[in-house]
Amino acid sequence: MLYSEILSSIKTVFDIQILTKEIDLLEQSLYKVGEDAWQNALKNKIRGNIAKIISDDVEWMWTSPDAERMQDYLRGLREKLKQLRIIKLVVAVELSWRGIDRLHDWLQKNVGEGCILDLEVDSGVIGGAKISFGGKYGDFTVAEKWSELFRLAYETKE
Amino acid sequence: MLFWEKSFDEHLKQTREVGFVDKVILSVVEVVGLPGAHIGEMILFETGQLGQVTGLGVTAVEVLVLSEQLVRVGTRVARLGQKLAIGVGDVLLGKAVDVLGKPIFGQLEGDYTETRPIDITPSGIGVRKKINRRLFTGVMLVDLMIPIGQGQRELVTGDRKTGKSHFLMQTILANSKAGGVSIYAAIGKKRAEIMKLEGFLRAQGIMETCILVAVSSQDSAGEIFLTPYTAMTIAEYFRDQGRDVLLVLDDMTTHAKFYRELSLLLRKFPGRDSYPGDIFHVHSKLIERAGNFLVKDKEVAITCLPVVESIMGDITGYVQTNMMSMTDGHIYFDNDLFFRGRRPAIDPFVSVTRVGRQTQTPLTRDAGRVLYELLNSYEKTQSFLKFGAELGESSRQILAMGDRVLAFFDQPQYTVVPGNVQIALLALLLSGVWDGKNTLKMVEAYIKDTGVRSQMDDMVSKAGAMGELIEAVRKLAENYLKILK
Repeated sequence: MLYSEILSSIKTVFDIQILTKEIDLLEQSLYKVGEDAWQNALKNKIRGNIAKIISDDVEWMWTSPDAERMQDYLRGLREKLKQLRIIKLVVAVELSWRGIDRLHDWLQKNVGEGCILDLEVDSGVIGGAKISFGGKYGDFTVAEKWSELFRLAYETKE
Repeated sequence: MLFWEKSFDEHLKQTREVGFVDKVILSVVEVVGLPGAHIGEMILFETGQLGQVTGLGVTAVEVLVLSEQLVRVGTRVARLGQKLAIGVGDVLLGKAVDVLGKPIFGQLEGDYTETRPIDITPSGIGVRKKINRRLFTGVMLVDLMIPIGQGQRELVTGDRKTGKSHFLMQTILANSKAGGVSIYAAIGKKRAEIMKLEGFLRAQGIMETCILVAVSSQDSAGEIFLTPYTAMTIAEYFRDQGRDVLLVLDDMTTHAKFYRELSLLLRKFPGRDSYPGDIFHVHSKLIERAGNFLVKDKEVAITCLPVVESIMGDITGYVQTNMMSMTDGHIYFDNDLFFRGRRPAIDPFVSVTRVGRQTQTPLTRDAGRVLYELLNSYEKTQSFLKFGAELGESSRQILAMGDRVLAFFDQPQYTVVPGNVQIALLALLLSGVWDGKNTLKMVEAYIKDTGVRSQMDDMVSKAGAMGELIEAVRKLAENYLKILK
């Protein structure tokens, strides 16, 4: 399916931001003077893996370049990116790429496809995470548990 | 606990819902998330601003921002789980407050007694009583010819700079002296005007019985829109405490303009003059909350004086006619009369009071009738002067008497003339022995001399009609003329 390979490589909001910039560069290159402007942009300004996926998706551009059709392709990609659902997580420490991958895979299996992560680091939460998704909010942090415990202890003491 | 006493995170934990600002269009923002939000609910932004839900869509919630501070895209938003409510209490007396009931200058000397939602359904007919008590404005022209009752909704309309605010201040002065609570809602006024207003109330020594709900034109459209609702909510609190309230909404044309601006931003379909289709409902629902009520077996009233500005004397405008139809009468300030030097520049023939006359005694009703007939004849006779015709003796007498009545009605700013003084002096004027000048001297004598006061009160209470009063006044004419010299 068109775009599925690109979308599967998007795991975080940061990935979307980078990809959006790359799409902008490609769009601008379509209207630059010089026949191989967009090819140069694809080879030199876009990440290798993304460039390969786009190159395969738009192989007709190599034989009969069509700026408008390319524009439609990029517009479609932008629309797909907008449809991605974002899960915002506030965590205590910065997650490694492996950690992000594992989280993302878990989300794909248990929440559904098209979910990506928006990570924020706040050492004040100590552990666990604050989760915001689909308008819902949950505080599952260690800091919250501790303050609950201390509150209970204080009330019991009184 | 008031909503501003809890932190943003506490509200998030309480409602377990979060939203993110997706689009900002001046005072209106679109928020993605908040699946449980309902119309009218309060919203708190992460940056501390407050908002109110005005619309619900499939993907986004429309929120009216109640702050001049800009909201950024991506800001987190929490529901407060309650409709917009303000703190009310006796601590508000003597204070200038904003749309949330928080003092603009200084702090409150105590806590709020309770919180009340600002947008409620007006009380039903079961708790309302017929208007039967007078509201003395202290302005002779109004009290004698366009009487207002406690609980009446009387529109004040006219062009700008025709003396409407002076009349309102005079009415507040008279109401405060009579022991009532006065609430003035300054809707989108200039800051300098608000300061001047507060200065006036303090200078007159009546600030302790007044509350100023002030939102300037520099504040956000949302705050300006909600100002009269806050003022009405505070008025309802004092009504429920058993106190009569005078509520001035200055002015409703500004309110309508800002509501139009918000509605157009919210992409509501524009109607006549680009106002939204529900402008009448918005105003009438507010005005209907005033009236004469039965509270704990006692009649208590909220008298509402909404102000509407006209342009070039045109009272057939959309907002003007809307307000006229939903109020119990109107007092019209005429531009021409103002330029001719009449103060107050009220046209008694265009002004209307629908329920004020039922609060009058037979004597004052008779006085009003006599005045109308006199001024009517005066106006008709005046029109003959334009043709240069020679006038007979009776016409000259009508003109002379009319001039004296108009001189009598010319009242200095911020002077309150007690009701009995008004009627006694009118009788003295109609008896033909007085020229209608130096009214203030009689007012002073009435206030300071208990003998004069008791004599005048006694004379007025015994008279049943103007004829009787004129006869009684003639006997005391010599004494009164000495005072009026």
